[in-house]
Amino acid sequence: MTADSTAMFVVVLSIATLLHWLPLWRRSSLWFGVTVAPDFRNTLEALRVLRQYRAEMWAVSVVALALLWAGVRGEASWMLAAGPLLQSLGAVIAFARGRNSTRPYARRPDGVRAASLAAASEHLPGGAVGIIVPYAMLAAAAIFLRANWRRLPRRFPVHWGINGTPDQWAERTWRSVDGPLLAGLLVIALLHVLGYMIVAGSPHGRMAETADWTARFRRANLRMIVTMGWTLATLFAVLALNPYLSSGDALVIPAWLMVGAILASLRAFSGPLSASARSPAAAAMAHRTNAGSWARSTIRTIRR
Amino acid sequence: MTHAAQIRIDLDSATPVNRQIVDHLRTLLVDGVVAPDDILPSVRRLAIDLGVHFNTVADAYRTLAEEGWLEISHGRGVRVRKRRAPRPDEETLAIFRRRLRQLVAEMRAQGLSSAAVVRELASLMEVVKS
Repeated sequence: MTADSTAMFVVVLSIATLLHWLPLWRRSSLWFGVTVAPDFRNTLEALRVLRQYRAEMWAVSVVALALLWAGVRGEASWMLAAGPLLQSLGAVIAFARGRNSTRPYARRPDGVRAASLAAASEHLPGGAVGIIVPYAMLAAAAIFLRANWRRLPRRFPVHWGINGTPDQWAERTWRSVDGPLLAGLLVIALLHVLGYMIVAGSPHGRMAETADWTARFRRANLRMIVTMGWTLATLFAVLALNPYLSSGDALVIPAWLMVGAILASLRAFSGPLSASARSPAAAAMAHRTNAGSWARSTIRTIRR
Repeated sequence: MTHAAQIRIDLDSATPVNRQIVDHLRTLLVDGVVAPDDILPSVRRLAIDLGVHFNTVADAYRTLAEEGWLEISHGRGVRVRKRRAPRPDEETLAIFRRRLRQLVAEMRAQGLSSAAVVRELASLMEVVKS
C-alpha cells in the first residue's frame, strides 16, 4: 500500500468519525435540522433516530472503505473515486432520513426576538494592519521573485506527494512562479470577505439572554479569520519562494508543518470558546445557542 | 443609552411587527432609556438582528421620525432628537381615554378583578410620576 492510498483510508475514516458526531453539534432546540423541544434530545425517539443515522452512515463508510481497498489492489481504478463519493452520498441520505424521522416531533420556533440598541461597533481584530499585512507579505514575495528571476531554476517542482517526493514540475513562467501567490491572494481575500459578511451581514444575536455568548462567538470567528489570513500568507509566500530557497526538489517547509500551522490557527477560534464554555455561568448561557452547543459538544466529545 | 436597551418583538403576536417596534421604541424614549443624541442602529443592522424585512424597520423609524422622536439622515444613521411634547387637545385626550377604557375592558375580560386592574393602573401611575 502506498502513502497516497494510506492517506485516502485515513481521510475516509476521519470523515466517518466527523459524521458520527456531526448531528450533536447544534443548539439544543434542533435535532437533525428540525426545531424540537429543548429536552427532545434526551428522549428515546431522539436516540433511536441518532442510532439509525449512525448505523446507516457507518454501513456506507465500511462499503466505501471496501471499494477503496479493491481500488488499491488494482481491481478497478474507478473504485478509488467511488468510495469517498458513496460515503458522502450515503451520509447525506442517512441525515435526510434522520430528518424525516424527527419531523413528527417538530414544534414551531419561538417567535420572540430581541436586538440591542446599543450594539458596540465591531471590526476585524488588528484593524487595518491585520488585513493589510498578509497582502503585503504576498506582494513582497512577488517583488523578491521578480528581482531574483534569473536565479530561479528553469524547471522546478510544483506538487509533492504525501511522502514529500515531487510528482509535478513546471517551467519558469510567471504562472508557475506567481501561481501560489495568486492562489493565496484569492483565498485570503475570500476569508476577508467572509469576515466582512460576519461584521455587516449577520445578526448579533436575537435572544437577549445569549447576546454575550453570541458576541464571544463572533469575536472568535473574526480572530480566526485574521490569524488564518496571516498563516496562509506565510505559507503561500514560502511555497512561492521554494524554488529560490530550496537547493534540490524538496519542500523548504515540510508538509506536516504546513498542516500543523493551519491547525494551530484554528486554536484562535476554539481556544477562547472552549475556555469560556468551561465556566459554569457561560456554559449555562451557551446551552441555548448554536455556538455554545457546538463548543460544549466538542468538549464532551474530547472528554469521552 | 444604557447597555441593556433593546427592542423585543414577538412574531406570533397579532400586532404588526412595525407597530411593535414603534411601541417598544417609543416606550424606551419616553422612559429616557434612549436619550436625545443617542445613535440608534441603522435600518439594515436592526432588520438583520431582528430577522425582519428592512422595510419593516424603515417604516417604524419613519413613524417615529414623523412624531418628532428621530432624525434620519441618509448615510449617517438614526439619531434621537430633543423633542418637546405637543400640548394635547380635547380630541387627543378623548382618543386616549377611549383606548384606556378598551384596555381596561380587555383586562377584565381576561379575568383580572377590578382590584387587580386598579393596582396595575396605580403602579403605572407611580412610573409616570417618577
